[in-house]
Parts: sequence; C-alpha cells; structure tokens
Amino acid sequence: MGTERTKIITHIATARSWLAANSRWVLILTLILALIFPFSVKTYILSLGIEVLIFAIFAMSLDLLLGYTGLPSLGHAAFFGLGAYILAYVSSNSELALGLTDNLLITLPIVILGTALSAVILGFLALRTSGVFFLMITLAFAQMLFSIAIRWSSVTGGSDGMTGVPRPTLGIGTWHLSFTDRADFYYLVLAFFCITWFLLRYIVRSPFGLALRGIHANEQRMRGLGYNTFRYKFTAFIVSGVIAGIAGMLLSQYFWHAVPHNLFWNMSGQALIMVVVGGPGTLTGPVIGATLMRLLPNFASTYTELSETLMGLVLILFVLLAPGGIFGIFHKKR
Amino acid sequence: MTKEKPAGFNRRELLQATATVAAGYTAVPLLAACSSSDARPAKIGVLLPYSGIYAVLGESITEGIRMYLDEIGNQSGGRRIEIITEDSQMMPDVAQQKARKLVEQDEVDFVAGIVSTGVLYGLRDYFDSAKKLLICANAGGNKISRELRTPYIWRTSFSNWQPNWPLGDWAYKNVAQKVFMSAPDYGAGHNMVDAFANSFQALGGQILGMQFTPFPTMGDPAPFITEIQGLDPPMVFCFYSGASAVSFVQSYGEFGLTDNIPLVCAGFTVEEDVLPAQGTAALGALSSLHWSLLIDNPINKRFTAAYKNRTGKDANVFAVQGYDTGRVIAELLIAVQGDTSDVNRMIDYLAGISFDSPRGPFNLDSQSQNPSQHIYVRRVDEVDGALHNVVIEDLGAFTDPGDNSLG
Repeated sequence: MGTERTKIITHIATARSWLAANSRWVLILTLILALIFPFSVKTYILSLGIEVLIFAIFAMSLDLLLGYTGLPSLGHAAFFGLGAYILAYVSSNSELALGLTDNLLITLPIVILGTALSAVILGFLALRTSGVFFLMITLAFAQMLFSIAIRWSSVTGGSDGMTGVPRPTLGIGTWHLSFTDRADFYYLVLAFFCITWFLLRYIVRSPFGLALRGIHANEQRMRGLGYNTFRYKFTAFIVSGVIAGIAGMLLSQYFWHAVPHNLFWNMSGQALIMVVVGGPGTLTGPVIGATLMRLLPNFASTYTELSETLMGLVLILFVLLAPGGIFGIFHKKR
Repeated sequence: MTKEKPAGFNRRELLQATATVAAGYTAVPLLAACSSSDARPAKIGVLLPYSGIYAVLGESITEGIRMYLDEIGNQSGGRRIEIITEDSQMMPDVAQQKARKLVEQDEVDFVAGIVSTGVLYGLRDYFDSAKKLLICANAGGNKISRELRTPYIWRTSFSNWQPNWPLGDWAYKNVAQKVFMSAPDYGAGHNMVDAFANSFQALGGQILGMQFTPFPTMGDPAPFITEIQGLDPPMVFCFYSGASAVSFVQSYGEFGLTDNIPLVCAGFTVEEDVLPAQGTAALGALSSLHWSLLIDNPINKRFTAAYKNRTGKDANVFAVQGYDTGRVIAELLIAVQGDTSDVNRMIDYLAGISFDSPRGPFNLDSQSQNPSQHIYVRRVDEVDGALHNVVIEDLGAFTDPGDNSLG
C-alpha cells in the first residue's frame, strides 16, 4: 500500500517536471494534432471536437472570473445564450429574425457589442456584492433572460427557439470564405479557441491579471495598496462576458439554432463544473474540464440512463480529492 | 552540482509517442472500412427521451416500435431490422449530437422518435443537410408540416392543428357558441388554441377570453380557475399535458366547474396516462384525438390486448404512434425491396404508404408529410369501474393543411 502510494506520487512528480520542462513542445504537438484532427477522424468525432472547443472557450471565459478573480458566477449562461440569440436574431432566415447577413465581419461586432453592453449593466449591479450574493444576482439575471426567451415568443421563438441560423461566412468585396462545411467550421472554431487561449494567457500574465489574482487573494489589501478593485473586476467581467458570448454565437452557428436551454442555469452550472473539475485559475484546466464534461455524459448516456448521476459523482470526487482539478494534479500552481 | 537527466520522456520517446498516436489515428477509419460487409441489417436509430419527465413517452414509443417489429419477425424487404436507441435528454443540442452519432457513426438507415417540438425543430437543419430520413413519432409542432417542411422529415403522429380544428367546428354545433380558452404559454399551446379558434370563429363562434399559463411549470392553477369561474362561460376549451393536465383538471373539479361548465379539450389533456390521477374531476370532459383505447375496430382490439399482454399496462396514444412508426418503416423497406441507398426513391414511396392502423385508416399525405387520419370525439366515462375515453363521434379523416390558412 505505502510503496504503491509513493510510486504514484513519484510518477505524478515526474510528469509534472516533464510538463514544466517541455511545455512548449506539448503546446506545438497539441496544435499539430488539432490541425490534422479533421483528416484523421470520422465526421461524428469531428462534430464532438467542435462542441468541445466551443465549450472550452465558454469555460475559459468563466475561469477568468472564477479562477483568477475569485468571482463565482452562476449566471454565465446569460452571456452564452445572449451571444447565441443575438447572432440568431441578426442572421437567421426564420420569419422572426432580421436575416441580415451571415458575414462574421458584421455579426461578430454586433455580438461583441451586445454581450459587452449586457455585461456592463449586470457588472455594474452585481459587482457591488460578493460571494453568495454575487452568485445569486448573476443566477437571477440569467434566469430572467431565460424566462424572457421563453415568454417573448414573437421575438425569440419562445420554447421552440430560433431556427434557421446559417453557418458563417467571412468576406470583404470579392474575397469570400464560407464555413458551411463541417471541417471548415472546425478550423474557424479552432481559430477562435486559439485566439481566446492566447489572449487570456496574455491577460492573466499582464500586470492587470496579477492585480486580478491579488483581488482574489485579498481584496481589502489590494484596496489598501491603492487599487480601484471595482474597476479591475468590472473590466474582467466584461471581457469574460464577451468571450462567453462569442462561444454562444459559435454554438448557435454550429447547431443552426438558438434555444432557451442555452440560457438555463443548468448551462451556467455545467460551465462552473468544467472549471472546478479541470482546475480553476489555470486556463488549460477548464479546457480539460470541458472535454471531460461534454464527452463523458455523451458516451455514458448510450449505455445508461444514469449518466447525470455519474457526472455528479465525478464532481463530488474532484471537489473532495483534487480541489486543484485535473490540471492541479499534474501542474504545480505558481 | 551534477546535471541529472530529467526523469520521464526524452525527445526520442516523445517522437515515438507521436508516431504511435498518428498511426492509431489512421488505423481507426481503415478498420471501420473493413468491418462493413454486404449483408447489412437495416438499422433504425431511435432517438427519444429515456430520462426526465417525458421518459414514459419515450418508453411507450419504443415499446410500440419493438412490438410491431417483433410481430413481423424483425425483418422486412429481405433485410433484418435492428434498433439502436439513444437518449435525447429533451435537449435540442444533445439530440443533434446524438442524431449525428446515429447517422454518421452507427450508419443507421432511418432515425425515428422525437417527443418534443423544440427538439424536432432543432434537428430540422441537420437532417435537411445530411439528407437522411427522420420519422417523427410524436412531436406535433405545425411548422414542420408548413414553413419548416423538408423532404427528409415525415411524421407518423399528428400536427398540433389536426385534432383541434375539427373539434372547434364540432363544439360549436354540439356544445356552445361561446368559449373561454386556456393553454400553457408555449408553441404547442398556441398551435392548439389557434386551430380550435379558427374553425370555431368561422361558424360565428365567440371567444370570451383567453389565458396563457406559465410554461413549463404552471404552479398553482387556482388563480386561472378563479378567472374562469368569474367569467362563467358556457364552455371552456383547454390543452394541458402531463402534471399540469392533472392539476388543472383537478382544480377544475375542486372549484365545482366540472358539473357546470362543459370542458372541451385537446385529447392529451385527459389521455390514459393522466386520467387515473384526475379522477372524477375529469368526468364528462369532451376531447378530440386521433385514437382512443376504446375505438371499436378489430385491429385496435388486437393491438390493445397484445400491448397489455406484453407490458402489463394499458396501451396509450404514444405506443400506437410507435407501433405505426415501426409499420411505416417496414412497409417502406418492402416497397424499396430492402434497398435503402437512394433516399429520394424512399421518399417517393413514403408518400404512398397507407394501411389500417389501430387508430383507423392511416395514409401518409405527400403534401404535409403528415398522416391523414380520423379524428375522434371522446367523452370521459366510467367503464368497468375505471375512467376511460369513450368514442362518441368519428369526425372523419383530416390532414394538416400544410400552411397557416386555417389557424
């Protein structure tokens, strides 16, 4: 027993130091694998890959709040769903929507603007609270949007959602790219994923990011040092909301629809679990968490009706045994 | 200080690992290609909720499909038939990924099932782009027979319009000329109310008021029943299903309306699954549906007896829809002589399929891609000590109009 345990600990320590020494190679290898992915797998596996990447973007956006700033939002689906609905409203060909364009050069700024605006409003209110109160107010906001999506059927399509969302295009004048094909869309999502990952990594390593970590560790003290902590949290909240909105936009383009479920608290809870299971405050951890949380129930539900119970057990185990998440096991936190 | 070789992998081992992974990647599709042989069974991917509040519907439909396939020895058109089930979890996104799994990985020939309209609409664009057949065994959203119609989605169940439009006409002539309407505030609720109102108003009927209650949970129905009581209309039309059907009808009885104001409703409100819980509050309720447990035809008698024998439970309308879904697929396989390779050819044959179902004559209408079927008016009565829907009139065959001209 005892020697087995030491063995495992040694193995983990070995893996840790190897990862630390070769992180650049791991990154390059992962990127290469991600690039050849569409050529090497069946179309269904590719579709799972797209879903995982979209949810990874969503989870990373929440990590900026939860893991780095220490803001436990239980309403992050508000921005995710809003991104989906704004995109659907602008580009869907259903009679409810405007059906203007599927060109990302126009739709993306609209989604960014819309989600940023709502993040400004919610952030302004919610960031005056903290802890459980912050959790409740974000939850309430998301549930409010959920009930609007269900009730205001002349705009949102009600419980049936909004259908007929096209896959995006990208073009100026005669230069034109279309992402209708699944593999093409995969590369688009991969590009968004990489931009998000590098952008967030840049942010959390910048002085701004260090200040966020400072707020997480001890907000009083940061204030004592002369930081306007509200301004820092507010900015992080908006950035996080916009990225979640972009993930939602990609989801609606991928599934050709926006549905109320995207706004439901269950979706916020899923994102929270992805971050916690993967490892909060690590960026890569939530990516692993998103992979696990999307794939495991998907495979498990083919064999058992208890897949949700299984996911609950996984969560309990991680919270009890590995509070640093999967990533925390293999990676020492700085 | 001596420099130690870092434990674990070195670069060569890393390269080896990469090569192994790459080899594994390429081997998967190759192996898959080898395993598919010629005498392939015809596969039906059944996509239904098996968890959550609609699990009972999912299980009834599956049981219906299996029952028909067992009756024909699980083969048709010279091919063995196989079923692969997947849980849609009632979520459009989950359902779409499961549909991809069935179509692309399990390589099924047809997908059947779908309980909720939200899921059906969410799947529409996938089946339209994948050019695969989806046989819808329940979800009744009108749009799939109308503005969202695609050649690849056919329905063996009903459109929400179907039972209610004939009922509006019948209720005007047989019950009252004024009505108050109540339904949950979501797609199906509005579809059913609109259909009833259309034919009712066409005859000069007057709508005294309408209430749309919160969906998915209605909460306490008392305020809504009080509103009805205050207005004291000569007739109430409503549509509810599941738990809200039970609480609405029970409350209707508790407020003493059952004996005073005739309740006319879409058949699901008082179907076999909710009647026992509603009890005497449901007595006398008039409803319309494309089936009743007590329809007096030999096929229905045989079906209901066999279903009870097989499952120990009374049949319900969902089981009938599953049974007919199994039959439609089997008939299609016969028509194409087992050749499922050309989807357009299958679509051509689908349009002609007709047979005698437990619900009466069943024809797949090529225009709405929905069954043309008889609609029955039923009244809740006590039969042999239990509450059932007794058929009081056969209104004849109806199919969805295929556009929004009639509500």
